[in-house]
Amino acid sequence: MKKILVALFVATLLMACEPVIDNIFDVYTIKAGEHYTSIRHTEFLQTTILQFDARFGESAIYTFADPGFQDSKNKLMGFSDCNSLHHENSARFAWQWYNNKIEIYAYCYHNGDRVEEFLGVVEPGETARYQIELTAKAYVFRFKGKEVTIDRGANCSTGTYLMLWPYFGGQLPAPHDISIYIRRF
Amino acid sequence: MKKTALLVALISVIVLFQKVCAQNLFIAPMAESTIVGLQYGGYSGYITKKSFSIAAFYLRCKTQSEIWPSQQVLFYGIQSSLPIVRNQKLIFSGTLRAGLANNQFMVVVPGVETRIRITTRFHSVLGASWRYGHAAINTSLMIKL
Repeated sequence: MKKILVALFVATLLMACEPVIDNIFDVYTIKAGEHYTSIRHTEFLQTTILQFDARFGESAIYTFADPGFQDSKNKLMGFSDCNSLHHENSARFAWQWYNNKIEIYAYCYHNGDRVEEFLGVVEPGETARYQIELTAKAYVFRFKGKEVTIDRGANCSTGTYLMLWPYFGGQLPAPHDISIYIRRF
Repeated sequence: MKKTALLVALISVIVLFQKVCAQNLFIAPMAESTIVGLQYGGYSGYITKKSFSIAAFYLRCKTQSEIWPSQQVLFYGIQSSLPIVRNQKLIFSGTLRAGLANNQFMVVVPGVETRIRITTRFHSVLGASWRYGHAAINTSLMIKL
């Protein structure tokens, strides 16, 4: 009985910690020398639209000693397509600090082939809305009024669609701690 | 010959029914509050003497959050409950639901639940789970048949 009461108490405490929905911006921090973020759990896409707000801090500004790596795409967020690995079929937003701006790209894998398309730019500190719609045959990326459609490669519709979280690189890891603020819808 | 076959079949059904009843069939209307809104539905299955249960569930959206207006409409599949701590009145269990969201997306939802015995036939169930990357709470009334 005591164990049950303790478990209930802990569960109540955990539920009480849930923040107000409107203020939920999860902070994804990629530590210096790492590729992956601090928050990285297994989660499944559950609807045909992935939508979120994201904001980059000043930490998104970085310069590599070798400028050849500066246009490596860092991944923001997206999902792997139906029962596919992310290097086979997936759709994500990508970003890079380039020409003193944060450039945003649609970044997909189509049957193992990478497809990238420029979407626009954001400033550090600016919150923008990002949306990927999954249709029967394509991914539709929407960002700041621009819409880009990229063909899907996966040939199934019912299955597992794993969420993909922020990732730094490219080949090189984060040169310093980088924080990205994301609010999902 | 036909009569014998029918008799055997009838006896088998009765015996099987009694065995299944011994496992305690149940139904349970359910409501779940998630970050995308309130969902309602129910589940039905069987529960063993040691309170392990397996059931089929079905949930659909009742309301949708204005802040999180995802198009979540349906969620259905299989769920199981494994007791962790139990006594005569309370059972604290771990749960796992696996199924399809919107007829397309395979989803696995872990959770916990507390079953409180009201009478031999009725149990109140309070649960918490992890849905859409956030905590969700649910309640249901388990009715043993």
